[in-house]
Amino acid sequence: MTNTAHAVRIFIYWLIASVIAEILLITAIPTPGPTLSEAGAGEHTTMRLFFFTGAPIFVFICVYMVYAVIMFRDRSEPETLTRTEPAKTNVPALLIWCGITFSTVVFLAAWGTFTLNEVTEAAGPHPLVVQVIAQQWHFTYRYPSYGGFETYDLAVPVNTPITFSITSLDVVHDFWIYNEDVKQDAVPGTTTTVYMDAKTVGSQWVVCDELCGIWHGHMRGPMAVLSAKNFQTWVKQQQASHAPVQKYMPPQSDTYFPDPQGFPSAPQNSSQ
Amino acid sequence: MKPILAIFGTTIVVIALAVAYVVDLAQIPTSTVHAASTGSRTASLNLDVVPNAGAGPHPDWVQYQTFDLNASKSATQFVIPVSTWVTVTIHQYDTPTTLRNEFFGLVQGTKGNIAYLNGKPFQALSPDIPSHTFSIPGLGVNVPLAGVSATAAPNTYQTIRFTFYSGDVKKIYHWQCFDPCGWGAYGNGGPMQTYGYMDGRIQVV
Repeated sequence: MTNTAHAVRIFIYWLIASVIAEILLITAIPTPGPTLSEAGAGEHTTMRLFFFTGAPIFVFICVYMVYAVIMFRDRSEPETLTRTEPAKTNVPALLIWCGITFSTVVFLAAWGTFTLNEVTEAAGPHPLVVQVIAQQWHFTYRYPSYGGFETYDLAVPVNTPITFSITSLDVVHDFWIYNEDVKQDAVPGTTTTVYMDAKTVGSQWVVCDELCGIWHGHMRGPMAVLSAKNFQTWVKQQQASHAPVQKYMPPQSDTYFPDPQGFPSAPQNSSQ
Repeated sequence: MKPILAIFGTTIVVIALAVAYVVDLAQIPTSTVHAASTGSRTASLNLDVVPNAGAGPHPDWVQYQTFDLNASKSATQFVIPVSTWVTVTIHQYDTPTTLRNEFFGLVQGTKGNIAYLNGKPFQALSPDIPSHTFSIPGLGVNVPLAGVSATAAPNTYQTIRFTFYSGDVKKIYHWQCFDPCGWGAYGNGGPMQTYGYMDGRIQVV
C-alpha cells in the first residue's frame, strides 16, 4: 500500500473519531455549568473552546498510534526478525503537522490571554470595596465605605462593581463564590483581589476551597445579592446591631497581624 | 516465591496499621449531650469550660465538659430539637486570651442579641476579656465567654447564659471557639481542632 493510501485511511479514521469525540463532548462529558457572571461566561467559553479544539488533535495522535502499531508492525516470524530500516522523515507531513499544532496553540494562547484580561480587569470606576477576612473557620466581611463594620455573612448590591480585598488571619484559605466564578486565595499577611458584578438578585454560597483544618468542609456561608434599596437597609441594620463592638474594632487595614501572645509553641500544663 | 511472600506480607501489615490508625483517629472521645426540654419549644443546655480536661488523652487541654465539675466528662456533641429556643448556661473556669478578631467580642444570633454575664446583660466584650467563644457559624450565633482572673481562687467561674433559636431545618452544624488558645503560631492547634475539646457538632433533630 502506498504512503498516500495510508494517509487517506488515517485521515478517514481520524475524521470519524473526531466527530464522535466532539459529539461526546457536547452530550456526555460535563463541562462547566451555567454561570451568573460575565467573566464566568468568558471562562466557560474558553474552557469549551480548549476542549473542542484539543479533542481532534488528541484523537489524531491516538488514531495514528493505533494505526501504526497495527499496520506497520513487523510481520516476520520471531526467529527471522531482522533489523528494520529507520523511518524516513516526510518533510511535507512534518511541516503540516507542526504548522497546524503551532497555529492552534498560538490561537488558544491568545484567546486565553484575552479572556484572562477580561476576568482580571478591575471593577468599574467606583467599585464597592468589601474586605474579606478569612480565619479558621469562617469568612467575615468589612465594609470600609460604611464605617468599617464587620459582619458574619456577605451581602452585596446587584449590578454594582465589587472589589473583594481578601486577607487571612491565620492560614491560607480560598474565597470562592462558585456561581459567580469568583475565586481567590486568602493569604495571611498579604492582600489579594478579585472582582465581581452580580447581575441577579438572590442567594449564593461562599465556600473555602483551600484545605485549612478540621472544619474546612464547614467553612461556608451565604452571600445575598440585594437590590440597591434593600442593600442600604441591610447596611443600616448591620451598623445598628454592630454598634456595641465598633469601638473595639481595629482601624481598617489591608492586612491584620493579630498579637500571638498567649499561644504556646508546645503543649504545656495550662491551656495558655 | 519468597520475595513475593515478603512483599505480600509487608503490604498486609502496612494496610492493617493504616486501618488501625484511621479507626483510632475516628474515635471521638466525647459524649453526646441532649438538650433538656423546659416547655413548649424551649430547651436548655448546660456546660462547663475548664482549663484542664483532667482526664483522657490530653488532661492538660482546655475542654467543654458536662455541667458538673466533678464529672470531668467531655461534652462537644449536642442534640437540640428543631424550631426551639435553646437556653445555654456555661460555667467558664478558664483565664482570658485576647481575641484574634475583635469582631467575635459581639454577641450575635441570640435572643435580643444579648447574653448574660453573671446575671447582667451584655452585647459586646472588650477583646481582652473573653477566654473563649461559643459560636455556631451556620446559625449566626456567637457569644464571647468572659475569662476568670488568673489570681482568682480555685474553681472560680463566670456564668454566661444566652438563648438562641435552633432553626426550622433539621441539620447538623459545627460549633467552635473563635478565641484560639491552642498550639502553634496562630493558636488553632491542639484542643482547638481536636474532637472532644473546643469544637464539635450540633445536631438539630
